[in-house]
Amino acid sequence: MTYIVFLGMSLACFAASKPIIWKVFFSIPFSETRSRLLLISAWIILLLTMYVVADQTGSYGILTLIGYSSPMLVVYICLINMAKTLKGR
Amino acid sequence: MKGNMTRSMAWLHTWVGLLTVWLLILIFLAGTISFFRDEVTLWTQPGFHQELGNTRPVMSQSAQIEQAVDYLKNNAPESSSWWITLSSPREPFTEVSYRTPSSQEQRGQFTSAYFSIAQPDTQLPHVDSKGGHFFYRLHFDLHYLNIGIARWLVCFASLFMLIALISGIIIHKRIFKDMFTWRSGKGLRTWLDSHNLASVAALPFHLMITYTGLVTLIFMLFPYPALTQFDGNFGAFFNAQNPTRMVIKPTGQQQPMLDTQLWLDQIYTNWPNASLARVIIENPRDQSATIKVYAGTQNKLQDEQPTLLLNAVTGDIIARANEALSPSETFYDSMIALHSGRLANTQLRWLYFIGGILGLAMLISGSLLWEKRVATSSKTESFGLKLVKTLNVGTIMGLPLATCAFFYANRLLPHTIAMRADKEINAFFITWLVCLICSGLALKHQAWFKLALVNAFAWALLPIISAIQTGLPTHLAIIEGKTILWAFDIAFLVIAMISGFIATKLYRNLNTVRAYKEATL
Repeated sequence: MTYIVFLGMSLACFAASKPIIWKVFFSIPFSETRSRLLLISAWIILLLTMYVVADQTGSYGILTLIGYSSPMLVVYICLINMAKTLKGR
Repeated sequence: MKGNMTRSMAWLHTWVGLLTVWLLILIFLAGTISFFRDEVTLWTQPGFHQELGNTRPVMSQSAQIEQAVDYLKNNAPESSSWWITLSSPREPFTEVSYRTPSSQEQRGQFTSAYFSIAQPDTQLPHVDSKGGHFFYRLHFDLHYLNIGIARWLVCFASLFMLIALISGIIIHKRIFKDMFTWRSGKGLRTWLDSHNLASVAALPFHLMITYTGLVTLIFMLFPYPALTQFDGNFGAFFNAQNPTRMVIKPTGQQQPMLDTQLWLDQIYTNWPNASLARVIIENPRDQSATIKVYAGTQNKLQDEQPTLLLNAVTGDIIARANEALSPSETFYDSMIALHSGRLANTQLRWLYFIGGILGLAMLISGSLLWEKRVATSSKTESFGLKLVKTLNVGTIMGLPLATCAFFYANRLLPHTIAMRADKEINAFFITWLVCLICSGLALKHQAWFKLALVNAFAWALLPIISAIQTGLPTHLAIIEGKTILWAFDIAFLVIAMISGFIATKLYRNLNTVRAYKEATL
């Protein structure tokens, strides 16, 4: 289960690196440096998670990890849109 | 070429997708349901519901085989073929089948008996139904069509889908930038965002399932290396690849089979810790009788099961296959395993299912996007647009309703009716046809709304009808720990809720349009 949490963290970093999404969740102004840092963190977390999963559970684990990315992405987009709607009100 | 590379790819993406989208929706729907093929089969067999929750058989595998062989010796001594399928966690029963003696006109049909794993002497009542197997075969055989034609159609649809996926990636330049973008209430933009979201969110799954789907049919698409190597004889190629496929003709001289325990010893000597999946005994009373034993592959990335072929009279091993695969066999087999998802545990199976649903969402949003875009840009409704509209409503709303009709037929048709399994399948196709006709001729503008409403009511009523027919309502299924039954009921209710939500939204839109028309008159 731990690797799913890390996958979630990585996707959250990817999402937060987008200026539109950043502005929905944070009051601190968006900056290019912060975005780049988030993007680098996202890639590091994702690649490290994939390496650890491949090392410990092999191809089956990688398949599961990739499988989880789809519903997680959909859930994130739903959450982002909900937050946008709430902020709009 | 249409101007530049991106425009050419956009043109290719649109037309390649539009040509095959409805066939692909059928293939994707059937394939997605097939990930739960065994569970659907269990749902369609009320006689097996008492077995749900029993995952560990009380008897060892060898005892199950001995019992099955005794049953077959007593009940089908003249049969030319005996099949014993051992229980697994997803199929908690032992299936014992035999081929009825064939007449001169036709080959004998298979007759099956099912045994409980909790009470091995108890035979389970069986209803004539294809269950999940119908959706599995529909996925690549398209049911009524000739198998050869159907597989070529599926081949081309898969090829077109792969082309559409690759061209889609090329034209979607901002694939990473737009990853979390979905704008609601913006008309065509919302449809495009939905199409992009469904495509990108499960892109690895879409690429994997399409590519591996093509690999499953590779010997149709590209048979030339095998044909060249084996002088145009495909049979010889398959026999060389798996020697246990050899057919040994009966000699006509009777000889009793070796004692079951003796040939089982031979198998367990070769495979000490094997979990056996199936045993097939050919020509059991003949001198040339053979026993073919398949071992389960469990969660391994391998689809073809290790197989042993034994002489049933002497117990000698005649041939063995799939124990150690060559690199090319490993590649081919892992591709098939990835596509079929047979390797998946419950968690991964659900992920496959979600991938399939997102695939359906991608296809549906793509075809609707084309329809809306053309309808917005053209002043008159051309024949092509009318056809696309009819096929869209008839397929997108009709296929779920047809699936629902299949489940209704399973619960409502009398158990004693002749050709019952075929009638369930007819219910599926007749419902789909009625939806297509209604959307084209009868309902026209209100087709989406009315079919969504029918879907909502039909799916919502299904758990009630099922509970009346089986005597096991959802709350009892939860209390008794029959996960498959209550999970199905919840799934039906979720589909009903989604259909109801769509119907409500469409009703509001219809009212808005009506009010606008009245105001402008």
